[in-house]
Amino acid sequence: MKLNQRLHFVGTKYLLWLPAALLSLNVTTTLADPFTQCPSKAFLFQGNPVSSYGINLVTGNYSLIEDDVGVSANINGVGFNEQDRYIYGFNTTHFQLTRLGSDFQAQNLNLSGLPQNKTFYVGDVANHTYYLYRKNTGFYKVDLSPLDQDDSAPLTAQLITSSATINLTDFAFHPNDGKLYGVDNNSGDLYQINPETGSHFTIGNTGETGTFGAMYFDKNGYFYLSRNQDGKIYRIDLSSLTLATTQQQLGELDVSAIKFADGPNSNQNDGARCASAPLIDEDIPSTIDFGDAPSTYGTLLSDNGARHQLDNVTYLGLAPPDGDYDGYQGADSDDTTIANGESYDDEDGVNFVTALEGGLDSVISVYASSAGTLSAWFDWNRDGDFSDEGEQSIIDITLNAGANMLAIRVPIDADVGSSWSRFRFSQQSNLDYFGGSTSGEVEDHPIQISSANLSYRYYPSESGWVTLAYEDQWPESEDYDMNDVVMRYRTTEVIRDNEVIRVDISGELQAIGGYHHNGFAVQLLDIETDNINQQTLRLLHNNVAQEYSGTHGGDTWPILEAEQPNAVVAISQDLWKQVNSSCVFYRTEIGCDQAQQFDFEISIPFITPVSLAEMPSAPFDPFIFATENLYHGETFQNHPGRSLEIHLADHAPTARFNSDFFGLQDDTSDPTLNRYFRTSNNLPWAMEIPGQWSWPSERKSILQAYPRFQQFVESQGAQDNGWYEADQADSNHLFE
Amino acid sequence: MLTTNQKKITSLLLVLSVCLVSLNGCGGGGEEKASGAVNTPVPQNDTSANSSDGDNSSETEQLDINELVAEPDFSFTTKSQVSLTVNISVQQQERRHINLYTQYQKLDNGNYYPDPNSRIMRGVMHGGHYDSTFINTTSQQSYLIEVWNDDLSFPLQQELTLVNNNLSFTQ
Repeated sequence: MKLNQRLHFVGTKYLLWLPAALLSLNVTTTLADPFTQCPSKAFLFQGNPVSSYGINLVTGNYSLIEDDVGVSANINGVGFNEQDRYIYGFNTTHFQLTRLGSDFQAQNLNLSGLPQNKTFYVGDVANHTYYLYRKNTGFYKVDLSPLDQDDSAPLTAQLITSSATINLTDFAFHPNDGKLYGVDNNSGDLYQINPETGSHFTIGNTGETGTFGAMYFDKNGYFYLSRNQDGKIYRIDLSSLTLATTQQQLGELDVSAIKFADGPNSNQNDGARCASAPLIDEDIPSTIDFGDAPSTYGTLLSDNGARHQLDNVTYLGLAPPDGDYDGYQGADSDDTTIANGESYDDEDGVNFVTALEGGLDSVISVYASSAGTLSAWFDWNRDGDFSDEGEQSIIDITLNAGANMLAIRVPIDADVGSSWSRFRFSQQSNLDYFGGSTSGEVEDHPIQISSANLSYRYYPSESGWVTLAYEDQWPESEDYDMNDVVMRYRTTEVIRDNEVIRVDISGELQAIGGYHHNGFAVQLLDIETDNINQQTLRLLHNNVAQEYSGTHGGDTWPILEAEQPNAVVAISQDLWKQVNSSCVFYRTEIGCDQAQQFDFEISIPFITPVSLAEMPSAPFDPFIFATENLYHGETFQNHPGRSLEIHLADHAPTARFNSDFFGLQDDTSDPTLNRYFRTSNNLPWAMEIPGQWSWPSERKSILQAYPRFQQFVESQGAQDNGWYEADQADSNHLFE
Repeated sequence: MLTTNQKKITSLLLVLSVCLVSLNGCGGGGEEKASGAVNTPVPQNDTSANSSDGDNSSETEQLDINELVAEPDFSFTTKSQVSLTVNISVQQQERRHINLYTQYQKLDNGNYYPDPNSRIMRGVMHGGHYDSTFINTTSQQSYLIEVWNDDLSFPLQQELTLVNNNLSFTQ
């Protein structure tokens, strides 16, 4: 095919446009257009005659873009020019400067000034200037700006320095400090090269050697090396570098090359990438699956977290996973996070059907979509990583399509308590708990490591939620939008011999729809405060252990409240302190979407186990209370602070509640009748609603948002007991 | 406001989305429908949809929240406590593992596929007898129980139906 018969493609998305392009198969006589955007994909040019490949550095997946660039030659030393969005390179066969546009067809340029009959394999572009390097020959630059007016304009190479002593096969410009970086194939040393003078500085050793034929940067300043011999892609963290970075600071950097993904083997090659592009383009649907364990396990892309290219063939569970733009953090994980306009819980292929008991075998049911290879890691010592010896308990096991029953031996010294596991299923083997994979899925699962013969009772289920919704204007009844505090909530009771030995509670703050500052706590009715083991009581905020439930200046508030006959654990003294909102409220105003920011887990061990018959029923007694020293409505002359509590209907407040508040304004509580927190119409200030409830938007009453709530209430639950379901709502009155 | 046509389209989309959910394995309880068995009334075509402006009847007739009156002891939930009893024939003091789920599917091969996220109980049973209780939050009527051995054999599986707030599995 001749140059003028080529189709016009659009950057990395050309495959998407192919059908349309075929329909309009116009033969054009114009020269190639530049790329329409700064592509996130890396480009690899290799072979003679040269072929070009697109490489997803995140997973290592690659595909052939063009095996006929219009010249029978090798093109090397390629670089992406962000000014005109062409790829520039050196035709090493015919000693010519060349460039390629979005059609990947080579256009020879009119260059002079280079030594005769010398070819160049090392090049890159920055600031509209092409830089070339050849050991023992010299370091040159070419101003590309004349091409803006005339693509046949004469160009002249200028010698920067004839001192060219370091051994390179590629280099690349850092997007933030304007310097070139390259790795010596033989020594593994990482160099910084000054493009103005050609002087170089040896930063340190990367720990890897080989022919690094292609080098790339991303917009965050991570440096990627592709090794020809085995296709391995390594990453070096140069993200901290700026124009102000000194050589001393450079010398102190850890420049170890970390295995990042498996790419293609190659030879006679070079790589080019638009350095200011992110690795994952969020403007197009993601085809990558990430995990959702806490970040210490290596989950986010910035941490080289585990990730897989979706192939719709290799996955765990009955349905393929959805694509993610990055790993997820927190109790919500990726269950409800929207990416690609959709989201569902795809952590559904691994089932721990027996408990993980120290020293015993545990049975795990794993459902595979197809044959493939499974590896799994368990944080047995609960130190927040999978890197310890013996923590990879499943190594490259071949699964068959369908249900697979696996047994793992839990180490006898495994640390009892909550922890995490990671399952990676792929067509590849030898995966680590981090890094990219070209196929499959990663599933991260929270686990409970237990001593023998423990049972678990979940409310409402192991990974399900109930939603707690509060109006915080008590004792006034106001707009009834039930969104002043919205909290997702679940509990787990750990049972031995029909006695509860521990209660775990998790929650996620969904919304704050009021000005008042409220804390959140849980009362365990009939469980004495003295029966809580304070030594092992544990509260996590966003996976970080807390010493207190709140601090203010030098003041601190304990997690287990003192002087309470019933155990009361405070989760937070002020929920507003847990979030930052760019709006007046937090996730209640329509059009003011913000990410969920606060989750908690609390583990409440009992000193003396409590029989099942004596245990209060889940969800126990979760309530909000007024934050100390802050205004909480005109009803109160003085700031009520901790003495103001708002509970579910007919749940008695704790001993810290000021009983003088009963009966104020619209409240009709009557402790003699065990009547609490109801209006004269018997309506509550707090409700527990099954599932992940969508709450009303600001100042829309629960009746406006959920019209069938009326029938539900008036029939005492006999009718419309699914009033809270999404398909029962008037979506115009919901936050989302 | 939704017009009549928009409502029809919305209903169609709802049906489609339910199908997609089912295909994606998010339902449970039987081959075709989500068991989960929530007694959720599916919204019917509202008669008011015949009105020319497409007003939602429930909205036009909507009560002000301050006019809504509940019974003095209404808890605003339909939760109830459920008792689970398991009796299976095993060797004396032999150990088994109980798993109880709310969401599951029946596969083409006749086996059930539980959604582990919906597990509400995981218990150890000695001697073939197990008793426990749990809170049913959604008036769910159907559950899947699995009884696993410590070896790698396929578990006993049975769909259980709630009778007078009791679930019973005997084998």
